[in-house]
Amino acid sequence: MAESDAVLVERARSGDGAAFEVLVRRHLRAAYAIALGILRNPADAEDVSQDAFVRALERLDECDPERFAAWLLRIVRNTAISAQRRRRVRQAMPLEWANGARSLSDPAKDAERSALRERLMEAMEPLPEKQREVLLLHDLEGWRHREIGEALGMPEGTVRYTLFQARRAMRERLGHASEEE
Amino acid sequence: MSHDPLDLTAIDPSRDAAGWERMVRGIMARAQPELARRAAGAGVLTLLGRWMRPALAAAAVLALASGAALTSANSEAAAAPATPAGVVQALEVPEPVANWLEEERRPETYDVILALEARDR
Repeated sequence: MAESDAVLVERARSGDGAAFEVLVRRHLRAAYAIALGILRNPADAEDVSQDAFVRALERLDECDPERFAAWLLRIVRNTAISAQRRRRVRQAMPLEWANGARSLSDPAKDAERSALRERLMEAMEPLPEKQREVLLLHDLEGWRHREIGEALGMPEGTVRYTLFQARRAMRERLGHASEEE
Repeated sequence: MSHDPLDLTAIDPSRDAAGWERMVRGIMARAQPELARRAAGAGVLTLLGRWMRPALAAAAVLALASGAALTSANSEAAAAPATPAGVVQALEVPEPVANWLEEERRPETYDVILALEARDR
């Protein structure tokens, strides 16, 4: 049976790297989803997710082990918001939605996926931050409404409605995009 | 329908297994110093824990022994007379005062007058 977050947190507090790695693998996708929802840039979302995990480890003693996921996602949000502020100040380069593209074995498939990713990210961009977070946590990460509500501090009904709005807006935009093509 | 999930697999970072693994490795590499610090701290605590147990046991035994010694000393003191005869003689306490002490009573006014008259005689 998989160990609970609480047990892993206690072990990681004592410097158990294996326990911390399980926590990383278990929650990295959710962390990435939150960071992507705020930053709208896959490469930045990766960086922020990594930073957030290291920061979380440094502050692990402040965490209630029973509520690790919600606590971690708060750190991810704060880290992402700080990164966003820095990025706004820098404004060094325009957003490149496709810069999270990886070298896959099939160049044709790679290009197809890259185009699809670009379309999704463009459709997601105008959504309010909360809608993006809820959408990504639910439809990408597979979290339940209750879990999202706990992590983001929202009532379950609000999570459902936010998700509904996000999906509707995304479908409209993706529909328009395909009509334009 | 807006109730159906959207297919977001195109932006799922774990689809690229190698990239995903790189990300996990990156976090673990950056986490190493903090993990090492925590492990060292835990080691010191464990050592202290090991040392503390016998120390606490010894302290408990000492506390018990001290308690027993104090109790015994107190009961001996309680059993002893308040003003042993030897002490009264050594301090050359006048006889009437020595009597009052022995009887453990406070002198009345007439006791004092009688004692003064006896001294003057």
